Amino acid sequence: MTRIEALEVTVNAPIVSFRNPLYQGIQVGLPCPPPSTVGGMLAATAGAWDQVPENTRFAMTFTAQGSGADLETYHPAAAKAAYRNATIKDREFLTNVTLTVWLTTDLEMWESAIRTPVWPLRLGRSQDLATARTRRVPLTHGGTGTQGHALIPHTTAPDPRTLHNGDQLQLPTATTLDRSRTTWDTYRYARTGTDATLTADYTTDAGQALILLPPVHPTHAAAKDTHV
Amino acid sequence: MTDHLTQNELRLTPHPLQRAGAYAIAAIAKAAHPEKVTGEQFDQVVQRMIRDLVATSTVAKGQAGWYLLGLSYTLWPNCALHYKSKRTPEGIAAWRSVPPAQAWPGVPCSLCGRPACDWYGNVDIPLGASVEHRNTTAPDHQGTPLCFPCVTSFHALPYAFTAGGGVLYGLHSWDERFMARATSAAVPNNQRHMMVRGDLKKGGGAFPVEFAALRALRWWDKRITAGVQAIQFSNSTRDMKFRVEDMGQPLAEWLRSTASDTHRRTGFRFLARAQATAKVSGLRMLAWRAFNRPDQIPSRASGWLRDQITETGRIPAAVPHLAPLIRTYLTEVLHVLEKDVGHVTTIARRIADVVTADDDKRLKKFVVATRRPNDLKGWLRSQIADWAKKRPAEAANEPFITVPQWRVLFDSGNTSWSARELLFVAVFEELCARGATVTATDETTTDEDFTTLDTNDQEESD
Repeated sequence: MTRIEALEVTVNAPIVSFRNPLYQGIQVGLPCPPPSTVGGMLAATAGAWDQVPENTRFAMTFTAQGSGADLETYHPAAAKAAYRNATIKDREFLTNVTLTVWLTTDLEMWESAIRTPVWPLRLGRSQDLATARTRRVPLTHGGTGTQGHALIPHTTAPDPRTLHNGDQLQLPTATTLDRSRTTWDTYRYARTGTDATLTADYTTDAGQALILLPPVHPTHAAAKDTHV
Repeated sequence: MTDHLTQNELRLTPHPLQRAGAYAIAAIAKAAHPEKVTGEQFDQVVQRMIRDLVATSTVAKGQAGWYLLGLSYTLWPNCALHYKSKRTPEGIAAWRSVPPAQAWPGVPCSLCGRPACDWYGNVDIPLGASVEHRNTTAPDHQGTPLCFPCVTSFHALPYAFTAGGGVLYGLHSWDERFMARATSAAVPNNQRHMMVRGDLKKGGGAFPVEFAALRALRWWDKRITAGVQAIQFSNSTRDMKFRVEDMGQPLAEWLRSTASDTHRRTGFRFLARAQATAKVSGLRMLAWRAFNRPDQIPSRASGWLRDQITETGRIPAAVPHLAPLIRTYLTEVLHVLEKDVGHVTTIARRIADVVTADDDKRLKKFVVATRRPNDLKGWLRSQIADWAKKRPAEAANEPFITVPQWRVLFDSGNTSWSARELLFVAVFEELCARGATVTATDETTTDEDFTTLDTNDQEESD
């Protein structure tokens, strides 16, 4: 099996919130960050999307030790004064989260960007800054590994020996620079983890299966605008 | 020309409520799938929905036909129906028509990417932001851009979802065939509500949406490939609500199998009876637990068996049907590991050696001990010597319980709980296999929901 060197980025944050953008009038939380959010965080470390290689792809795992709901004051950004009254809304959040991202290309660029990010590191709608550590790790090309807490494309073959292959989720993958268009894809994620075994793109030495997610660069969202 | 065509071609998007509406349109058009709805059929459904709105617009509260008008306050706040000047056939048609192409905003629909025909807000988009708010809109956008098929899908929600108790409720699944089936079953009911109901009282008994899911699953004759969501929401400006209950695919498939598999079908009646509470019937509690507390389903069933056995000291006739059903739940839904099943089955055989079904006292003591882990530990320790005397010749050198078996039962965290539940049913399966005498169980049920549970009348009537 071929071995490659990859960059493992571990991001921790005490409180985060990933909103489902389909429900703008309320705050519906997602159980894990969508690929577009992780891509946005990476782009923030690089400074802007034009600093990010277009075909950047990554694999990721995500865990949260707790969850809850809070109240927050919502200040409408309205053109007319009559619609500016602040209201109280529920806000779902996750606590003590760990996001691990594996990048397999442009390692030096990403290592540098994450060590000295251009913009403060945040994850989703966080009221706290996130911390990130990087390390170079060897990965084995191909092979089988454990799904665990990985976010994987739904097209990944499930493990026939278990029924616990994660819940199906529709998540944003990429958003155009003008935010007018978002591409969505179907993923699987087991919030409590799963022992399912996957045929992986890469595997870590600890046996974690890594499946590369679709590219998150805005150009890929724009490319899908075939109708306009 | 292309632009015009795309304004009457349905597409499925990532939005569950848009999908539910699109499937409702397909059901009204009698098409197999939203994307099979022709432009002509789509236009006819739009006209039909306008006619339904016009019909309800003049009905007084309490009169038959007011239901849709009442529902509009929950689903479309501040829509044309709520203004005297717009509550006319012309006003309603204007609300539900495609704006002229020259007025289109020139941006893509935020859901499907085709050309949007207008900016929309929470009047038309359930749980959307006000069209006046810019917190989440893209720069220079005057609201959320949608194409006509996508916004019409939202308009069709009253045909897929039922109103009652201040919310709309209905089902969603990413299994496309099941979604089509569940929606096509719901549409005739909701159309009936629109014609005859004059109120928005919460009908349908306890946990109506969860029970509808159970019923839809047991009607479904194909393997289900995704979980099922029970959605309840209100788009009322004053009090937006959104609640989604998820049932995982393994449990959905297991519930489906309780109708399609003859053996499981018999056990299912006992399983449902075991779930009942003083106020809610067994089937409806089962449906609620399937979404909210799936771990309670086997424990309620084994608890019900425990009560029956403790009361009579005999094995009820339900055991040969219910015990295997609980076993399948533990292995197929709660994922008790194969190796743990092997350990538990071995212990169950040992226990069956010492608990003979003809000895009421021994049986009763075992059943009582299974109520608490510490009691079961004590009981197992107390049986070691007894088993040594009784053990069959082929097991002469084997212990009553091994260390790994003990660990499976007591030292494996949460999985130990399911292993102990499995042990309880495995012992009775073993006793029945050895020809234990069972006493008759009253099989009559007072649960009226059984009369409609497995009838396929909705589809047949179509």
